[in-house]
Amino acid sequence: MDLLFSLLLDGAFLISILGLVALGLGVINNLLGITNMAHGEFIAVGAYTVVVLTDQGLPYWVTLFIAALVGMALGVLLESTLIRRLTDRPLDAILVTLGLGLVMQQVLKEMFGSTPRSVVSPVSGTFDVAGLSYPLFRITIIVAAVAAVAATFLFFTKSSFGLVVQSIFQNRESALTNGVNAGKYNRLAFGIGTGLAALAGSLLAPNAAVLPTMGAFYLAPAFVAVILGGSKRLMGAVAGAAFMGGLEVVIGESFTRTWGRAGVLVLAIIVIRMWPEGLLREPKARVA
Amino acid sequence: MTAVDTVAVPNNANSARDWISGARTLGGTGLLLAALAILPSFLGPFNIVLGAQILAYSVVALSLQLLWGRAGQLSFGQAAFFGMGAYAYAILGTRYELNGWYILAAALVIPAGTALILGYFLFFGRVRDAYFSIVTLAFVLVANQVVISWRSVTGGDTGLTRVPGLVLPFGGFEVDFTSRNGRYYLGLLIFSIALFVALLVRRSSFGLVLEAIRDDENRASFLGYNTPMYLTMAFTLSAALAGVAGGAFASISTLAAPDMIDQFLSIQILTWVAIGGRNYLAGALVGTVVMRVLNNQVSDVLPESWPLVVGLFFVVVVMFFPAGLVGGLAKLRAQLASRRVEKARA
Amino acid sequence: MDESQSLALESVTVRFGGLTVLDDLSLRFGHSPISSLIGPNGAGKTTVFNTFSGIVKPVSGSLLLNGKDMTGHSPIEIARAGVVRKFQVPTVFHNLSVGNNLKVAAQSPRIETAGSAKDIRWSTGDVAEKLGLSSKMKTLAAELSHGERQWLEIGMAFLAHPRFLLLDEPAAGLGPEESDHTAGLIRTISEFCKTIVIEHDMRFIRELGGDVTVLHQGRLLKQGTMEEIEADHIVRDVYLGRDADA
Repeated sequence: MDLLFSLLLDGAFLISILGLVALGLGVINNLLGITNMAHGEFIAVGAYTVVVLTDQGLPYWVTLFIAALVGMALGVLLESTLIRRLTDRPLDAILVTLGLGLVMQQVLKEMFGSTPRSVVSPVSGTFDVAGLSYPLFRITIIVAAVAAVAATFLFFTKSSFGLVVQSIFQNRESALTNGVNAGKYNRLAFGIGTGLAALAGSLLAPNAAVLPTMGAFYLAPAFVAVILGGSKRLMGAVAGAAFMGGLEVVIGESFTRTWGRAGVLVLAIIVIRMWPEGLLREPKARVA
Repeated sequence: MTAVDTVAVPNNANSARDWISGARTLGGTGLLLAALAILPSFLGPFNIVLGAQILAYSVVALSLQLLWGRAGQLSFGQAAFFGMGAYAYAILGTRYELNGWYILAAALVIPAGTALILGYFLFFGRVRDAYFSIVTLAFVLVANQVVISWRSVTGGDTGLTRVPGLVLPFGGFEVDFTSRNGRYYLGLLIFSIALFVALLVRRSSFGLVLEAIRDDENRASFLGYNTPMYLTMAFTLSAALAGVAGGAFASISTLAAPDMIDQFLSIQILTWVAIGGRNYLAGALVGTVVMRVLNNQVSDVLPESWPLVVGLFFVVVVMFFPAGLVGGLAKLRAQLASRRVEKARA
Repeated sequence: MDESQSLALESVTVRFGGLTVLDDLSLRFGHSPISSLIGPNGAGKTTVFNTFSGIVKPVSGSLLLNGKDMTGHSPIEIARAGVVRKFQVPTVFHNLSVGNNLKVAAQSPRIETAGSAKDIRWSTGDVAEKLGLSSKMKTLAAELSHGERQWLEIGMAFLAHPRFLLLDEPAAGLGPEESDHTAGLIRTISEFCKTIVIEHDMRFIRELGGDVTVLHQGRLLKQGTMEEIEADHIVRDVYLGRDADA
């Protein structure tokens, strides 16, 4: 019972972080049609922003918002200077993000060194229920991540910007030929995507060793989550992340953490093979 | 009924031109190999080993060029096969007294077999392009995790050291590749074989079909080609070459370490090919040599900044010279030639 | 009827979503070297081709090649059995030279069947000459004109050893001269394999000769010679009438 309880909360924690990462990756993937290979580095950018700002004495909860904004601004900057020029060469755009990831990782290394940094938990104490205890802070992080996912969801379903994005999701060609200013949406979508990654990093910061490479392991599972979620639904990526994160915690608990990660990636390969169009796929529209 | 002519006969002018271009390629390759053969007499002891390593790296670059440049499928995990070859060589070499051929064969067969299974699974399941790339990325992450955690066999983070050099028995006598020069010539031998294989693929109908698949897979399958099988074969051959390169590298460097099977090496291999020119055999070679030599120079001045240089250089090349250095030169030559023709006309 | 040279649909129904595109359709080709398939937009012409080449699987009914049931076979198997397709939009290998395009097609695998006397393998050079592309063997397909690309694709389809060659709008977007060259090419090809053509241009179909099949709303309206078709008043109402007005 004790084990199950902590397993559930570990799972919820991992899923909420992975969900944010995958949601960001999915927004970029579905809107721009490219995979942001530097997504993991944006996680690190978010975490380091928190490290720097809390060192300056800013309260953790404030730095979260700043981290997300920094990630977003950086994403918009990269999109409008580099990615934008490669809209007709999607594969090269992916390669450029790969190169950018290397650059970002190295810049972080030069700025902060390769020794892990840490952030002090802003909430101490444990959450006790029926004789079981769990760090209270992790629970607040789960709540914060869920709130961020919900806010993103509301933004995409209620705001006029979000509605246009949804229509581009549904049918890229027709939306874009209907005079949607693709540049503006691409730029903002890229920024929202990287902002979500940075937010995930900032939520992760007090719970992990902050390192330039800390995001590397999220990219592959998040990408698989996006594929599993399918390209039509925004929240599909979150569902995919739930699947991937849940699996990792279960396998990791049964064996070791390393094998958990390895096992998830192997399973992911199998899942992509079996459902290349996603678990939540829509009824296939057949073309004449 | 008789089959009049089973092989398509090109008309005479074309066959003469083909012959000339074939002879030129052969001559150029021969010159290159001859120059590489006498190179050690001009190099210091440190540079000989560096040269041997660059030759082994060139083979893994050729292996990626085969898969990416010719068949159009980009692997983000080429180092997985390179590392499997290196570890297969190092584990067998340090633990058992085996015939050198068996060790070399293991460094080829294990990665190739893995790619065959993975490729069959993916390509017949219609996994392609970016999806394929990410799966290969996940694959190299898994391979790296396995190597780091399976300490008893792989030596974990430190890897395996004091790996013996390769000794190949030929009937009565043996060829010993353990001396410094021997290691260089092992690199050259593997490189020559890989180059020969790559040239063969380029000129064969197998290579032509791969290019057709790269261009338009549906069209190729409507002509009756079993395209998933072709892609699986290309992937397997590519992994075999990468594995042999890894085995040779372990023998040359006398060690196997986790950084031979990680994401960063995979990305580096990709940058060599992209920077040299993904559509050209020569591109893979030029890119590898340029980047390895540059790596060596940069490491002397700024020991920690190599990934930054790779990343920036890579971004600039992909943005502004997508055909790479060799592709850019070829384009320039074509432009000059057409200008000359225009001038002659005017 | 001689079943050794026939391509047929038997009571085939094809639906996309709720829409019935082919409605219990029975069709047979092979009695004439050249057949044309005509009908107003949405009649199901391209779907007939897609069913023939295995891209679309019928809800019910069967696909017969030389009397053998090929229903449910994959496009690759059907292509190897000798049903080769040229698409509406010319799809050649753009980054390969004309010569290599032809070579890829010529070397494509097929099932060896006890063949007819006309089962000759052509050299790519001979075909290029017939296409009028001999001087462009080294040119990239991407650099060809639209018409040349159409011819290259016809040549490739021909080199892929078809028993049945399906050409979807081979004259679309061509000028009158190019169109005549195309018709000549198809007539030459039809001496070696059965050829079925989808076209809108009635002038082109007259030029081709052969028999004509009219589809309307997924059903067979009429099959016969050009004269019979033109004489049929129902066909004129649905299709030719509008064409004549234009």
